Amino acid sequence: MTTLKRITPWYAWLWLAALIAVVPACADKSDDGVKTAAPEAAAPADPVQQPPSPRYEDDQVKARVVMRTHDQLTAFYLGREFNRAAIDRILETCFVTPLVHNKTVDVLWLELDEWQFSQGDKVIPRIKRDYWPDQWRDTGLTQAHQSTFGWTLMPEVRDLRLDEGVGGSVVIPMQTRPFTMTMKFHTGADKQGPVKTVVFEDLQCVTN
Amino acid sequence: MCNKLIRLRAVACVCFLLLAWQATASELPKGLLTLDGRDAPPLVLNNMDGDRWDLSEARGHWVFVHFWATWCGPCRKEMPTIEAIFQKFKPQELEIVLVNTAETEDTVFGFLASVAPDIMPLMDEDGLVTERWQPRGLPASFFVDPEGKLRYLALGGRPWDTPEYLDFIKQLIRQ
Repeated sequence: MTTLKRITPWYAWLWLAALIAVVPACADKSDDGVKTAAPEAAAPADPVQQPPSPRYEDDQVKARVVMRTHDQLTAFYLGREFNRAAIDRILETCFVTPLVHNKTVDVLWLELDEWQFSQGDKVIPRIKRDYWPDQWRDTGLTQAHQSTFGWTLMPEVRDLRLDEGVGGSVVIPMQTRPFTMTMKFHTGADKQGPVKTVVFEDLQCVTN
Repeated sequence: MCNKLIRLRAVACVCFLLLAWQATASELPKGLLTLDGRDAPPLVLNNMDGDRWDLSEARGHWVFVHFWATWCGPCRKEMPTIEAIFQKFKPQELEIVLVNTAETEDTVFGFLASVAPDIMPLMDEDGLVTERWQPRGLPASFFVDPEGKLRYLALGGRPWDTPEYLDFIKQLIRQ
């Protein structure tokens, strides 16, 4: 079975060979010289960014936050033929819908457990996926609708690849006062890169 | 003199790596991931006419397995480009399989009739087959090779009717 192979082009090899051939191998004699030539490690980015609005963008990440009104949520789920009781359970909570796009990082780790919702020093616990099965049992929501609902939620974990985006709802208990959402992302395939943090302040749960 | 040569050599190496990186990065179209070649999960579903389709019976050619729903914006945007490749390639080269996730026939028909009228979608009525495949979200497209192995995954919606993706598919089916 042949697959599409990643092949270094012949001209790259030729070019390297030619350059090495004309440069005497004296680097071995000078460790200092080799070290000087090595690139320096990139300094970690400023860990906290303060966007002035529910949009944030830098050279690595683009993020946006949409707060869904009750009318929007009702229209969406009624359109998908959810029953009214199930929609009422949804409306008891606050749906925060972030959209995140990895512009340039090799792997940007979306891990919802690394995100925090807060009001001053008070942490607002997230309503996780395991909250919903009881609600659906009580309201008689079908398996098909439960599946659809699941796809509208933000994934719990996602290794966002270069140029990959993700969106979905993150749910918290209904809040009457503004809150802050702190999105923390590990970077790199092994999560050893600089941690990226994006903060959205003064978010509000909206009803109508 | 020696230091200059060392620098020159370092620059040469960096340039070589850049060239090599550029070459590897351009092999696959944007947004396609190479998978590890594990067996594709089972996929046995009925289409809208009630006819059963089984992935295990689709050996000997590539299969494009696409998970989607009408409520998903990127899915709606991508669908005409899937119709385009459906028209362009024969099923014995690349079989296009749409798997609708947990929607009703009326909903699916209402959308597909105007966008991709020639493709008969499979209906994952309860959404459980989609969950077993664990796509990274909707839409998601898997390329299953002629031996039933998962080879590539497209991240989100892709413009399949553009030269970059058409060339990729042509290259696949030529193998």
